[in-house]
Amino acid sequence: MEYPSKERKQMKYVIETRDLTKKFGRTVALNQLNLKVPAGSIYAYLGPNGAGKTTTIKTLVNILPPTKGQARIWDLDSRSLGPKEFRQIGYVSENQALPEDMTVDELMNYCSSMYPQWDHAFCQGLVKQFDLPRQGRIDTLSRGMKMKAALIASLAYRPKLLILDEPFSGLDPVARKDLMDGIMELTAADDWTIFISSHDIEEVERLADWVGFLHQGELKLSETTESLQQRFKRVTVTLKQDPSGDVYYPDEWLLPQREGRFICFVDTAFEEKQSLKQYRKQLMSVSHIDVQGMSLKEIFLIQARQLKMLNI
Amino acid sequence: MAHPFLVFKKDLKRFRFFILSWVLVVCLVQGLTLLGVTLLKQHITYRIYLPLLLEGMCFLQGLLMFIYIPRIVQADPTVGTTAFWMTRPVSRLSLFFAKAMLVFGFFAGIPLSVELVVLAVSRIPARLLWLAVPEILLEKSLLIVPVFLAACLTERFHKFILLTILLLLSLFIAWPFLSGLLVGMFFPGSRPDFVWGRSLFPSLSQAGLTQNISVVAAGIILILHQYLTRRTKRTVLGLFAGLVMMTVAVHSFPGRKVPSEIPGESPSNIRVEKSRVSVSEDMKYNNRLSRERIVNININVQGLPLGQFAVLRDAAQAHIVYGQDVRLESTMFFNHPRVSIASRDLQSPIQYALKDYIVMNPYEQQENSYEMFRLAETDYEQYKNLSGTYRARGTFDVYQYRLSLKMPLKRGGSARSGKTDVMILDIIEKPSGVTVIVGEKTANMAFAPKSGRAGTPFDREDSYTDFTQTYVLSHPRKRQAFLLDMREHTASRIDAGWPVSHGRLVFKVKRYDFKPVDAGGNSYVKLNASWLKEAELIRLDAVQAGAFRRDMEFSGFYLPEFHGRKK
Repeated sequence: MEYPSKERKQMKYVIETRDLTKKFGRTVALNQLNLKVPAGSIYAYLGPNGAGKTTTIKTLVNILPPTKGQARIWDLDSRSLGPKEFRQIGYVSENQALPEDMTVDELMNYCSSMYPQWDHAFCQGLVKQFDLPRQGRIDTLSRGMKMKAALIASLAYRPKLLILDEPFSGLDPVARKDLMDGIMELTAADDWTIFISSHDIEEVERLADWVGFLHQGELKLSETTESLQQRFKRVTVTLKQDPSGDVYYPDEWLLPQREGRFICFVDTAFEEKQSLKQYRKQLMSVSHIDVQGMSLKEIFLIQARQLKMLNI
Repeated sequence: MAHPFLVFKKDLKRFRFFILSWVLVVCLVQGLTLLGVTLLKQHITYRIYLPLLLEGMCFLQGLLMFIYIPRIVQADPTVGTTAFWMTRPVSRLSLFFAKAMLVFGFFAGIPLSVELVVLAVSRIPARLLWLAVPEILLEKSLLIVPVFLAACLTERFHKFILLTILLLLSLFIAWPFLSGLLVGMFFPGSRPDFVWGRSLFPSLSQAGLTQNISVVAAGIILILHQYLTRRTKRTVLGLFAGLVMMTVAVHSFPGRKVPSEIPGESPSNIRVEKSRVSVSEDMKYNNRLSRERIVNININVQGLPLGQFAVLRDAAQAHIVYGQDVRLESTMFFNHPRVSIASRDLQSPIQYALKDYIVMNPYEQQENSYEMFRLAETDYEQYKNLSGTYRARGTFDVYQYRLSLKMPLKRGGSARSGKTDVMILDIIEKPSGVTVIVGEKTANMAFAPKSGRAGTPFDREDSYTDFTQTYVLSHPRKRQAFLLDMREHTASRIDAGWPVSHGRLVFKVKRYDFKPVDAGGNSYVKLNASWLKEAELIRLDAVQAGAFRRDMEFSGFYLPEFHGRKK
């Protein structure tokens, strides 16, 4: 079966969870998660350690059964995923156990038998590009090299969905850059959907066009990086005079700080014309408004800090 | 290449040294088995070392199997979070086939092939050779399946298997003491007789072929289920359900059947009488040491057809009644029948089987004696010398001797008796008599159809005094026959089979001494060269002719004085 099929091409979301809940004993790892990953996106799934990112992914690829709700890939319940579906899914996770006694060539040869669409030339090219020793046994490779081998074994059949669980974790900067460049180069050509989890936004900032933020098993935001960066602005308002009383800050203004005539905050719902009007109306005697864009990392940190402050 | 073959090839390459070592050990065990008879002929020391070596090699063979199978299975696990395998389009069925192919191919297929070669070289008839195939496969599967299943259900079984084996061995060794301790702690009045095969696995220890087949079949279904679903919880539930069902099924199978009553003889004619009662002592350990008295009764069974003798198998509900109120129950029945070929009661059946041969040195040593009652020392002290009535429901097996083989007493001479080839390996003439070294080769195929005899030979460990089988030295022209000399007891055996079956090919080398003197040293006839020249060796086998039950009641029953403690 080819994915995406004609019907599936029209499908809006490749990954979709519906009230997905996963409990380990009394610990709730995922709490009614509703995640949607649009087709063709590079979705960065962010969250601090222990947020539930790996649990989400393991549930998605049918390694873990959900406690409640559903995880669906190509509109198919993850519990029903079988060899046919896995032929179109590439999955790489940190510390992934590989058959260590095989050489790189043997691993590729072995994996190729599972995928009718295995692109041998592409595979050879990747091995060369990643500078992997073809006759080197997996157990003799460095961690970065092993990750590269795992990535090739998940890319060479050109999956329609690539799921990467903390792929850069623990890699040195050179290996990380190599791997990231590789993914960017490869995915530029094809209309792949990539779902990449990380606890470090910097790792995936260059790649992602969608971003989701998970905190304590709950999805706090999920949107395109573009809209996120449009929405999140660091605003500094200079007032004509010191405000005499307390200033009211709407909920969408995060981490407000006042120092004399200056008020700084992060507007999480910035909209060019409306927001400026709102600032003037809200803060009265506005002298100057400075609006600065934010990097994904800054947005991620602000979000995390805010959640921590609210003790959620 | 198809996926199962790729997995197979991968595992074969990865585990090549393991598999090679396994094949080497299998070949060594079978090679030793094959060389057994030749080596045994060479020197007597081989009779000591060869069985020991074989036992050791067989243990090693089992150990390697237990270590290697989990490693092979868990190279591509069915449980856990080894995502590389879980997220590949690996057909679970093809993975199962690949693993099963390797595990059963090497751990059942290789031993099967090698053993078939050994059996063929040992001149086992082709008919029996084919029958050995399902038996060997079943035997190996009974070991493979549980380990395979354990490896499927766990993530790191291969890392703990050695520890598991050590723990099981320790438990096996410590169980009699542990059970004694537990029984002593919680049931102070009862006897700590929890032993393997009696309390833990009472049903499986009696399991026959049908039960074994069902165990293997259920195990394979569970393994397949685990591969197909990778839902360990369900498989474990299935395992428990299977075990419960198996236990019920095994219990519903009849145990050892009581053969039909003795044909042509009304059981009412049979009388069971006691002759002598003696008392011995046994120690009982639970929370504290206590002593028990064992009441041994010599039982005479009268009224059996000529040539038959009875052996008490079981005395159920044994009790002694004193007056109206006192009823002493036996603490247990633990029969160790002292039925020896030298028993006085067996002389008539032996003579009957030998027909017109005259037994020149009949035994007159002892009577059959059975443990018929056990009681606490305090009870014994209270009731000894009081008159009571002993009652028990006895089950008796009835045997008769059958002349199963007759061959000239020649070095290298051989003959066949049923499924056993007998060969005279050596004849040592001495001034006091003659020693015959006999080699026996028996093919025991579980699936072989039973012979059409009326009864089946009693199956027990060979010993010199074993009443179920004996050799007799005879002179056909003079019609003289000599029974074994009972003053020297020697027998060695080598089992080729291991470890579940009783051994498909069993080599035994036995030494039998014949002396033409009685216990007093009186000579009957000289076993000189001229006598031996015409001599023959006869084998007698005890064949079960039937069985009967009898309510035994001995009135005026006294517990006699206990004359001393066991040293």
